[in-house]
Formats: sequence, structure tokens, C-alpha cells
Amino acid sequence: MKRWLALAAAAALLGASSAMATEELRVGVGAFYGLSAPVLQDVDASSFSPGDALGETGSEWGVRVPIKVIPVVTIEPYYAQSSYDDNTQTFNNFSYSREGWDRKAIGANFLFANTLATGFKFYPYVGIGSTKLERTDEKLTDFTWNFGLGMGFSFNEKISLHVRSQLDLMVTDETSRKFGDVTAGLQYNFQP
Amino acid sequence: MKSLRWLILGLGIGILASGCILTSAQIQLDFNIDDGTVTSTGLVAAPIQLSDEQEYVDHKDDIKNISDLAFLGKFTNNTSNAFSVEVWMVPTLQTVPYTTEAELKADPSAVKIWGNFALGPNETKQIDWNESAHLFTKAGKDAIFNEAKNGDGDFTLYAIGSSGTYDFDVKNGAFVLVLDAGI
Repeated sequence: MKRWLALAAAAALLGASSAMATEELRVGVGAFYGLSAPVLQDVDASSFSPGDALGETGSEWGVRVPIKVIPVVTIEPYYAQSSYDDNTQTFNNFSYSREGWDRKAIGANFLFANTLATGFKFYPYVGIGSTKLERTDEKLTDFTWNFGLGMGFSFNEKISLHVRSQLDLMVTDETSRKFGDVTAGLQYNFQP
Repeated sequence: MKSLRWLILGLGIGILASGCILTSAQIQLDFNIDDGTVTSTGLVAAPIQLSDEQEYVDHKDDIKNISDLAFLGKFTNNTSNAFSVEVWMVPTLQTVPYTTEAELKADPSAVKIWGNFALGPNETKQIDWNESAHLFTKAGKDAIFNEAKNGDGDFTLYAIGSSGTYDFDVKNGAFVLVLDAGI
């Protein structure tokens, strides 16, 4: 698995680096805020309903740096941080709470659009990164895939609004911990 | 555009390599444990039958890991001596359960899976879910995973005192495990 992931990252980097000379460099910076929730984590098998697919939600914020160096694709290094509410359940008539995770993620998204250009944009994207989950006396760090859809609207050449929904797959050997995010953010473009 | 093909190819390879990470979940199972009073010469067995859970039966082959465990309930020390509570596991569903600690510890397949949970003299404590999760031993997690993955999923739990003479109640007990599985 790791060999395949390394191959994927190498191929993506090869594509990015070899195309650098073909596009004028454009850079922006953005900040976002929104909601995030664990997906299909700790679902109760004995009484599952579709509503249980999402766990306790939490707030999410982060920063992104979109860089336009390749035709069609915008590369966007990011940092994101979430904090999830405790999971409270009743077992044999007593109520218990499991501490929610704090999540920190760093990586890069590949947006299939020029999000530094003006106008309305609707774009899919994929990303790779590393996610750290932490709660008292417990820490997990793993490679992560991101998949998402974004919508961007520019107010002018410098400022644009971006709304995104994203699924994060934190790879834990042969399975994953999944998180769903909905965020909104503002982006500032350094070059018009 | 040639370089773009490399980029898309790289991302595509990665996504395909992800395999069943797309279709996996952390599935929680919980089992109530009957109330009981435990002494060193009067153990109480708690049978756990994963095989009673249809989700477990359907996805047993897809289990990859155990992502969380907890042994919950309210514990009352009926003596004026402080001691700690441990939980041991025997990887079979015992038709004739052990009644003494000596019998339990003489069984080579018995494994300490949880503890120590300290109880002061005549103290009653409801354990916290987070604290309980941290009291599982590595050997205990491995034993439960092995039983869930390679065994029939049925086993027996015993709560005992860590040393000396003990007498304690376990009320509203529950065993909670979260299986990491493909679906």
C-alpha cells in the first residue's frame, strides 16, 4: 500500500514540477471555517439508522495557499484543524461520554480549476496529506486522502468566496477513518 | 498537457490503491453484563457472544482491527481494604464457568485484558468511558482481536481483585468494542 501511495505522490509531483515553466506563477491565501463530523465511525450495529452515519460534529478552521503553476490544476497546500464533541451513549442504563478527537491535518489539494481567476467556479478536487488525531492518552497519525467539491465566487480580482464539501479518508492500514467537512472561506489573490 | 496526464495518473493510482478504505467503517457492538458480587472464591462469569450479532457474522472476514474497547459499570468495594479490579478473558464460552481465581489463573488460555481499576475501602465508583478504554492491555486487545477474527467470537470474561481477599459488586456492567472493518 505504502509503495503505491509513494508512486502516486511521485507521479503527481513529477507532473507538477515538469509543468512549472509553462504557467505564470499566481498565488493566493485563504482562510476557512465550518463544520466537520466523523463518518461511519463507532456506528452501533444493533440499531443502525442512516442518521447514525455521522458522529458528533465539531468546528473546523484552517488556511490554504492556492498556487497556480499548471494548466487546469491549482495546487493548494493547506492546514486544517477540527475539534469534535464528546460521544455520549447509554449502556445498561448508565450514561457515558467518550472524549471527541482533536484533528490536525496538513497536505495539498489538487483543484481542477483555476481558483485564482475571476468569475464563478464549480470544481472537484482531490488531495493528499497527513492527519493527526489526538485525545487524552491516545494519538494516531496517518496518511490521508481528500475528495471534495467546491464552489467559488469572486467579488473582484483580489477577493473570492469559496464553499466546499469534502470527505477525508485517514488511511489506517486496510481501512480508514472518514470525516466529512462543510466549510466556507475567503481567499485573497496576490496577483490579479 | 503531458504533465497534467502524469498528475492525473498519479492521483488515479493513489485512489485505486486505496482499495477498501473507501468502504470501511468502525462498527460498535455492546453487551450488557449481569449484576453480580465477586469474591476470590466466588467468581462470576460474563459470557460475551459476538456470534449473536448479525453484523459480526456478516462481516467477520472483513475485520481488520479493534479500534476501541471499554469495560463499563459501577463497582462497589464491600471490604475495608483497598484493592484493584482486573478483567480476564477465557477465549471460549464456558458451559461450566470457573468459580475460583485459582481455577481461572491455572487456565493457560486465560489472559488479563483490563486493569487495574483502583477501589478504596468501601468505595463505589462508576468508571469513566475514557479511563476504561486506557485500562485495556496490549495482550488483551490482541486476544480479543484474535478471538473476533480467527475464533468463533464467543468468550468469557471474569472480573477479579488484583490481590489478597476481595469482595466487590459489579452493577449495570457493559462490554463495548469497536471493530474496524470493511463493509
